[in-house]
Amino acid sequence: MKKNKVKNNLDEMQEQKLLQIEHNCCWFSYWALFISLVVQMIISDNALQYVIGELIVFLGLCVYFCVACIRNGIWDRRLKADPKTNLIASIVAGLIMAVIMFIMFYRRSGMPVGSICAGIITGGIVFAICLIIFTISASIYRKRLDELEEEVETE
Amino acid sequence: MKNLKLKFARIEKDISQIELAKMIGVTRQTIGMIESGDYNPSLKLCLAICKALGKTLDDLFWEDDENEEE
Repeated sequence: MKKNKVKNNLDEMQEQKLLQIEHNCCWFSYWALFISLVVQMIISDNALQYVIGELIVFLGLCVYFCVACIRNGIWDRRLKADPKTNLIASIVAGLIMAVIMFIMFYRRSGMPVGSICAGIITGGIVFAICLIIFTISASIYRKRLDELEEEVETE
Repeated sequence: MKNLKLKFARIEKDISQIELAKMIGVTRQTIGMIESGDYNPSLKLCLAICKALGKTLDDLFWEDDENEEE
């Protein structure tokens, strides 16, 4: 195991408390960034131009989080990596995106039918993309979990 | 669940929380929290405490089933 060259001033109890504080800060920042992105997309006319920086940071955070979890054989505390859960999560993601797109288009154009269509199409695309990504990720996760279990058995 | 065994072992040796904390390289707050049962130390820290007080893990950290439920 790599040792940090800089001396740690904290003992193990303080270290655990600090990790808990960092955990809370991380999740607060994550959801605050997500809400800020959604609000900016809804209220600004040229959304992408305004949110591109935050979007890159947010997506980078998501990619790191997913890759780090899968590499360590972790999926979720409560959710399971099965097709049913993936389907429900994809539907939820699609619905959220459909509502956001509906509000965004309706605010700009004022046309309810067109906005509903935009919402349904975007929601459908997001649902399909999420389902594909979840299915692939779940498959990689299961393989990684097997690898980790084999590593532990052989050591 | 308070760790009275640790507290009594420390008092028996006439060592204060600060002194014990210095001996094993932690803060007094950590010792206080272990004694009051607010923090579960790692095995590494348990061993360090045992060595500092000249006790075994069983002496300081083993709990009978009846006491565990308290």
